[in-house]
Amino acid sequence: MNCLTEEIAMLYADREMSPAEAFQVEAHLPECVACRDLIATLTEENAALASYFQAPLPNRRLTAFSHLAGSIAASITIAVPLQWVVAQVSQASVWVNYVASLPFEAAFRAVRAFAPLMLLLIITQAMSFGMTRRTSQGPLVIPSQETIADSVLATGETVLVEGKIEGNLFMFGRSVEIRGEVIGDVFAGAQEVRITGHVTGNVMAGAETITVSGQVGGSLYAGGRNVHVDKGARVDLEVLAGAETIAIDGAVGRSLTAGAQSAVIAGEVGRGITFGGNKVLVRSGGKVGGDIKAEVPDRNSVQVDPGATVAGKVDVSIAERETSNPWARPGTYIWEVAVLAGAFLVGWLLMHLYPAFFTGTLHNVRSWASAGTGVVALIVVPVAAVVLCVTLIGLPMAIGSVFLYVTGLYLAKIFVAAYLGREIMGGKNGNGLPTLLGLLVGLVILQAVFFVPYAGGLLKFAVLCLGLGAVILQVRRQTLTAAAQ
Amino acid sequence: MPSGEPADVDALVARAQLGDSTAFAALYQAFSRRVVGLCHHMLRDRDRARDAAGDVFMRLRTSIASYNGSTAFERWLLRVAANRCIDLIRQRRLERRWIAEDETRADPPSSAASPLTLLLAKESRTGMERALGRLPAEHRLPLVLRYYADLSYDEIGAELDLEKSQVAGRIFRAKHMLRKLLEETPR
Repeated sequence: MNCLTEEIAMLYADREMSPAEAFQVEAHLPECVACRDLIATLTEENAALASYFQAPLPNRRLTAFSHLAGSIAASITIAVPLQWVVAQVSQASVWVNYVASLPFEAAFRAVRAFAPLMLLLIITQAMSFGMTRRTSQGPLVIPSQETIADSVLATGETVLVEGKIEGNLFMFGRSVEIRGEVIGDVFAGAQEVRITGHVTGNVMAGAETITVSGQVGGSLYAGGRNVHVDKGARVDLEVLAGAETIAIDGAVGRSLTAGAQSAVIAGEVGRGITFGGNKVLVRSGGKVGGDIKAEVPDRNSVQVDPGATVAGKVDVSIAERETSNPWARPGTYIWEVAVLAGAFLVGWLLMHLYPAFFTGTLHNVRSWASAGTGVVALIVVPVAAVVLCVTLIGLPMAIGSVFLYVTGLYLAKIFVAAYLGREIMGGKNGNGLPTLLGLLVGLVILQAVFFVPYAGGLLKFAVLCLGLGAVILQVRRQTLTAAAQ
Repeated sequence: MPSGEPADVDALVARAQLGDSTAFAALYQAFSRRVVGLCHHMLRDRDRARDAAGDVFMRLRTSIASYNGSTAFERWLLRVAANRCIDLIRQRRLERRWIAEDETRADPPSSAASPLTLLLAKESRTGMERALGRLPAEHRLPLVLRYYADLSYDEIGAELDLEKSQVAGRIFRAKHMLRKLLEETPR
C-alpha cells in the first residue's frame, strides 16, 4: 500500500473506515514512520478540537452588551454631528434669508436620511467579531509599514492612518487623516477630515471641514461646513454633499449633487451637477460633462466663466418661497417615508440581533415604572450632562451619556411601535416579538398620531417617556444579570 | 461525561416518557448546557442559541416518546438540537449558501499548514471562537457536529443531506481553513 493521503488518514483517525480499509491502513503503519506521525498528529488534533468544544462557553452577555452600547455610541458620533451641521446650516440659511428652495432642502434631507442608514451600517459592522480597535486618548497613528487585514475602528484626539487597511475604516476624533490606503469604505466623524491617501470604496464623512486630496474609488457622501476636492484629487463616482461651501478643484468621475450656499467648480465633473442653494460658479478651466440643474434665488446666481466648459445645458429655476403648508410639498412625504423606513430597518435589525433584549423591553413598555423612569431620565440626563460638562473630568461621561440618551430617544418610538404592533397584529411563534408587519403598522400608527395637533405632541411626549424608560430598565436588568453571572 | 449528568439517565428518561415533570426538570438540568453549547456553535449567536435550546426542551415533552434507547440519550438529544438549528438556519437563510453543492470551487488546501494542536495550544479561546465564526456554515456545521456532538459521518450526512464522502471533504476543508485562520491571526 502507498502512503496515506491526509484525507484518508483523517478517516482513519476519525474511525470512519470500514474494517477492511482500516485493516489495510494498519498493515501499512508499522512500515512507515511518516504515516504513523500523520495519524498521531490528526488524533491529537481531534482531541484538541473535542476538548475545545467540551469546555463551557465564555460568558459573552456583558461584552455583547457593551459592544452594542459602544457601536450605537459610535454611530451617534457620526449621526449627531451630521444632524447638527445640517441644522446649523439650515438655520444660517434662514438667517441670511435665502431660505429653503426645494432641492436645497431635499439635499439636506437626503443627508439627514443617511443617519439611520449609517446607524445600520455601523451596527452591523461593529457586530462583526473581526473588527480591530485602535484607540488613544491623544494622537493615534497607524504607521506606514503596518497592514491591518480587518475592519478597523480608530479613535483618538487625532487619528493618522499612514499604513494600509484591508477592510472598512471607522474613524472618529478631532482631526482625522488618511495618508495610506484603505481597501474598503471609510466612515469618519471629526472636526476635520482629510483624505490624502487612497480609499478604494466610499467615504461617508460628517465634519466641519472635509478635504479630499487623494483618491477615492467610490463616492463621497459629505455633510459639513466646507467640502473640498483638491487639485489633483479624484473621486471616481459621485459626490453628494450638504455644506456651506463646496469647492471642486480636482476631478469627480460622475455627478455632483449638492445643497450649499455656494459651489465653485474649477476642476472637472464627469457628468452633471444638481444644485440647490445660493450660488454656482464654474471657473475658467472648469469642466462639466453634463447639464447643470440649479435652483437658486435668481438667474445671475449661476455663473459660467469664459474658458469653462459645460457639455450640456444650464437649467436654472428660480427658487420659490416655501409655502406655509408643508403638506403641499412632496418633500414632506418623502421625508416622512424616509424616517419611517429608517425606524423600521433599525427595529428589524435589533429584533434579529437582540431578540431577548427586544422582548424584555417590550415587556417593560406597559409598566408604570417605565413611564416614571422615562420622565425622570428625560429631565435628569440633560441636566446631569450639563453639570458633568462643567467639571472637565466628567466631560467624556457627559458626552457618553448624551449619546446614549439620544439613542434611547430614537429607539423609544421603535419599541413602543413594536409593542403596539404586537398587540394589534399578534406576535409570531409566541416568542414575544412582533411580526415585521406588526412593527410597520405600529410605526405608521405612531407617526400618523403624532401629527394630530396638540394631542399628538402630548402623545409623543408620553411615547418618548415610556419607550425611554423601558429601554433603561431593560439595560439595567441585563447589566445586573450579567454582573450576577 | 459532563459533570452535571445524573447517574441514571435511562431511568430519568423512562420517567420522563411517562410524563413525570420532575424528570424533565432533571434532564434539563443535566443537558441544557450541552444543548445550548451545540446551538451556540451552530447558530453563532448566544441569544438565538438559548431560544433554540429552550425550544428543544419544550418540544422534548412530546418528542421524547420517539426515543427508543438504541443510542445514548445525550447523543439523541444533540441530534434533535442539531435538527432544530438546521431548521432555523434554513428558515432564516442565515447563510444562503450554507449547503452549496460545489465542493470543487475551493482550491486544494496546502498540506503545509501546521496542525491545529499546536495552534490551539497557543491560541486563546477567543481566537478559536473567532476563527470558527469565520468558517462558512457549510464547513462549520459538519465540524461542530463531529467534534462537539460526536456524531459519525453517516449521522452528519443524514442531518445535512450530504453523502458520507461530502461530509469527509467538508470536515477536511474545515480543519484546513481553521489552521489557516489561526495561523493568520497574530495574537
